[in-house]
Parts: sequence; C-alpha cells; structure tokens
Amino acid sequence: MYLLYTIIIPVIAAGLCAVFFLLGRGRIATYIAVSGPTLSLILFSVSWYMKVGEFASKNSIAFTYGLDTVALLIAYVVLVVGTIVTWYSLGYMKEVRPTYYPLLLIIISATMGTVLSYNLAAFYLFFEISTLAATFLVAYRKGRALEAATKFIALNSIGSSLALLGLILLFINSGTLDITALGSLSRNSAYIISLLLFVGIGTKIGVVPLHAWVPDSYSEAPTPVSSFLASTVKSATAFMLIRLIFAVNPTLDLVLFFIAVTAVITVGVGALMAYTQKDLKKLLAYSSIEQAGIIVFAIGIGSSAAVTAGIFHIINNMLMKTLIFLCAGAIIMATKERHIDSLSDLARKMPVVAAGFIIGAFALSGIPPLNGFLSEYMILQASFQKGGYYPILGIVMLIFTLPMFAAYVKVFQKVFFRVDQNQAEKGGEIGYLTTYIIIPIIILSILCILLGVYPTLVLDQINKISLAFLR
Amino acid sequence: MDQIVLFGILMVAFTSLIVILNDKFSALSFLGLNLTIVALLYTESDLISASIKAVLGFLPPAIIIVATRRIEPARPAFGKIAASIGIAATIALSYATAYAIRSVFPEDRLLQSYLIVILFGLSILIIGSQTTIFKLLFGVLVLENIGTLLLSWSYNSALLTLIEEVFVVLIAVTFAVIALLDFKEYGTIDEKNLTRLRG
Repeated sequence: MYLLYTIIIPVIAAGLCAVFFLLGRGRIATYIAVSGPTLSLILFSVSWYMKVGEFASKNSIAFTYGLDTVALLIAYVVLVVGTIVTWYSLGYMKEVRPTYYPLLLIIISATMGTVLSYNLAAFYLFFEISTLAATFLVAYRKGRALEAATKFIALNSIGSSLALLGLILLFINSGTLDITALGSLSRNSAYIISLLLFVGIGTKIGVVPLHAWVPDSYSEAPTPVSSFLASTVKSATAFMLIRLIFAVNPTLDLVLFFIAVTAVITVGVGALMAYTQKDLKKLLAYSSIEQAGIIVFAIGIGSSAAVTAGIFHIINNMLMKTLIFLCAGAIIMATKERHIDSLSDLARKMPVVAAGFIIGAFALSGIPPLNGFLSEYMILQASFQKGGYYPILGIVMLIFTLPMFAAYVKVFQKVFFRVDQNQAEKGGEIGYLTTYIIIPIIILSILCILLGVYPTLVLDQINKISLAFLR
Repeated sequence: MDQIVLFGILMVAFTSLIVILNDKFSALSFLGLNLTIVALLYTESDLISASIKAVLGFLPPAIIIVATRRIEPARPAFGKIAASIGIAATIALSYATAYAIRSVFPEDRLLQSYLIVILFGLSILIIGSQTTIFKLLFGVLVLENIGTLLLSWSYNSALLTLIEEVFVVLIAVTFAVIALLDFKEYGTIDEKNLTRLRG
C-alpha cells in the first residue's frame, strides 16, 4: 500500500496542479507540483528505512508481489531524479504553461510504475502513459519541437505496438500476466517474442536503427524534460527489457548475439554522431544513444555478471545523464546560447556548472573513480568472461566509445577553457543561476562520486537479483 | 472455417484499402476493419472482447475523421496501380513467410495465424508507404488490432483487451492533436514538408 501511495501522490499533485493553474493560481500550482514528488520521496525513504508494508523483507531474491530490492532501488533512483528535475524546473522554466508540471509528474509516476510492474498489463499501461505524456512535453515549445514530437510519437507508437504484440504472445503462451511466473517458453515462440520485445522496447531506449526520434526530441524538449527522458525513462525501460527478455528464455544465444551486435552498432553510431555535433544538447542526445548501446550490450552478453553490470550501469546512467543534461541546461539558461563554438570561458564564469559537467562527462566516459567507470569496466569484463565473439565485440565497443570521449574533450576545450577575445571584449554576460539550478547539480555530482568510490552501496543487492533473473 | 476465411478476406480488403485511399476514406475503411473484428469476436463467443471493441472501436476512426475535416488532406504516396502492386506483393510475401514458419503456429489456429501474418505485412506496408502522420497511425492501429485478434485466442484476456483498446483511443487522440498542431504550424501534415530537423 505504501508503495502505491508513492506512485499515486505525484498523480494527485498533477491533478491539483492542473486545477490551480486553471484557476489562475500559478504560484500555488507550482509549489504543489514540487511537493508531489518530494512528499513521495520522503514516504518512500521512510518506509524503506523503517521496513514497513511492501518494503519489509525485500532483502532476498524472493519475488513476493514480483518486487525485489533492485526494482525498489531503481524506482527509488527514478523518484530521486524526478524530484530533482521538478525542483530544477522551478529555476529553469519561467512562465510555464498549465500542462508542463502535470505532464512531468505523470511521467515520473508512470516511470516508477513501469519499474515496479510485475504484471504485463500494468507494464504496458505505464509504458504507454509515459510515451503519450512525453509526446506533449516534447512538443511543449512548439515550432521545431512539434516536428520532434511528430517523430517521437510516430516511432514510439510503432515500438509500443510491436512490444504489445510481444507481450500478448507472451501472455498467450504462458497463460499468465504475472512476469515472475512466466516460465520458459518453447524455443520458436521465445525467438519471436524476444525479437518483438527487443525491437518494440528498444525503440523507446533509442537502439539503432530506431533512434531517429532521439536527437530531435532531446534537443527540442525543455531541458528538465530532456534530462528525465534521456536518463530515467530510458534506463527504467532498459531495466524492464532485462526482466522480460530473461523471463522469456535466458538461453537464446542467437537472439542475445543479435542484441549484442545491435548494441555495439548503437554505441558506434551514437558516439560518431555526437562528435560531429555543434549543438550542445544534440551532442548530449547522441551520447544518450551511445549509453543506451552500452546498457543493451550488457543484455546481449546475457551472463549473470553482465546483468549485474547492466543494472548497475542503468542506475549510474540515470545519475550521470541527468547531471550532464542539467549542466547543459544551466549553460543554455545563463548564456542563451547552445552552439558549442559560440560558448567560451565558462569554467571561470560558471565554476560549479563546469565542474558538474566535467564530472558527468568523465563518469559517462568511464574515467575512474567515478561511477561510470566501474559499471562499464564490469560490462567489458563480462564480455571477456563470456568468450566466443563477445570479447571482440567488447573491444570494438570500447574503440567506438573513443569519439564520445573526444566529443566531451572538445566541449571542455571550447566551452569551458577557451578564452574568446571577441566575446571577452563584448562582455560575455552570464545570467544569474538560482539555487534551484545549482543545488541539483551539486547533489548529482556527489552521487556520481559516491557510487564510484563506494559501489557496494548498490552492487550487493543487484548481484543477488541478477542471479535470480537468469534462473 | 468458412467464416474465418470470409472474415479474413474482409479484413485484408479493408486493410488494403487503407494503403490506397486518402486519410478520410482510410478512416472509414479502418472502421470497416474494426466492425469485422467485432463480428469475428462475436462468432467466436468472445463476448467481452467483442463488446469492448464495439464500444471503443468506433472512436479512433471518428477522431481521425473529425481531425481531417480541419486539415487539408495529403495525397497518397503512390498511385492506385503502384499501391495495388505493392499490396499484392505484400500479401504474397506475407503468405510465403507464414508458410515458411507454419510450424510455430498453433494447430487449431492455422488459418487465423496466416491471417495475422498477412495483416502484419500490410501494416508494415502502410507504415512504410505513408506520407501523412495519419497513415502512420493507421499502420499502428492495424498492429494493435492484430493484438486484439491474438488476445481472443486466450482466456481471461478481457483486462488486457480493455487496456489496449483504451490506449488505441488515446494514441489516436495524441496523433490527431499533433497533426492539428503540425498543420497550424507548417500548413501541411505531408511528411515530405516536415523535414526541417532531420535526425
């Protein structure tokens, strides 16, 4: 029941927020919007700490209600990031339209619901809600954003429909909607269902060649929305892909190999395209494709070690990607500029944001001692343990990530450390950044460092569950 | 068996017409497809799914017809002859694919399985040959209808059918709103003119 409250509270806040906006009480509506996920986060934290309701005795691999510690952990990170993004929106979104906060809160709830679903129907319900709500948030700024939203809904609807067909076939073959009771299917059925699920859910993760919506949507949506979609929605969806693929049949070598190859191509396309970008948000959008590839590669390896590493990277990705997007948002907000060549000397002018961006970029590039290093290293190690063609794929993936690191170095050099005399003479004025912008960046930076130096905080629990996934 | 063949021919015919006709008439054709599915579900005694489909199935075409009244219709991507050849080739290819993978079909649902593979092929043709956002929506809706047909093979599927049909309506509403906004912004919903961003 407590868990249900944590999902419902943001929905209630969304409703109240919409009502107050319609009554012309925008300020009250905004405070209701931020209090929704905050209250939910407090309830989640207290319930888990005190081990009440569904939060009790979840430290085992027993799937009571289909819930496990990892699902709770990921839902918790979703809520943390959702709360941070909502508070950040207070500083970032001036003059919001009535739809902004209600839709954002609905996506936060739907993403939590997706992660905590143990039922195929519930999963599809939350999966679709988040897609439809995200469409209107991508279209929020109108103009070019409308075209981005058109691409978003077009490709994601096709993906959702294919995923639905996979879910229905899964239901017909197993006779149950309970994800934890699906059992192994016949090899032929498992092949068809796995491919439908991979293509369908993979579209929402942004796997190549179904990624065309990603760069446009993430670069045209308001930055808090981009950050939540690129980090949290994508990662939570990848987590469900892990659950479903391994629920179908964990020994489908051909399907897993196909997934691994697709993942490596995704990493390559994302990283190479990112390197060619001049637009800061588009560069980050392509980097999210690269990160999706890394997570999916872990699924493709399919061993217990790879699943552990993949889930750890999902958690890390939520934090790293949100951090770097929020830093980009702060830069765009302060300078009113997003073209990399037009930005300069920001390490001196915006030291906190610059530090946050560099931490995020290093973490995403897998530089120690940040959190991204360990999970990416673990994925690579798992590919070597698996043997066969997987070590080669791992090395190719590693090589493919180099353009991404080069793209980040280009941003450091041009945006943060280059002194442009022309701009210096013009004054290069920087807008004021409120604490709503700065504090989320500091919190996320600390979390990226903390999980890098103290990974056992989450790894022990993930390890237990990933063994259970593969049984 | 005869009934299934008859319903199957009707479904394939209505789906094929979506490829050829413009948005408004495609909506009517889609309504025909939905009514055929309702009739099939009734004959198979899946009364709950049939009722859900009967109640909610007319909404997506109605939404599209209302939206197309405010939007200048885009012309179909291909001429009637090219589209007809495409349809015939798709049906033949889908049939051949179904024949090749027939071993995975349930023995008591052989005809239905062939029908589903052909409808799947046609939905991909609709999506692949689209010029407007609505044609793409029709492709998605045909995929969702395949889901409804598959669900009728199973017991206790009413919940999933209901959720699916509700989302079909919501997806149609979302597409209609985006199409209206696109038309207001760009003066067209023709995909060829919506290429400023290029991913």
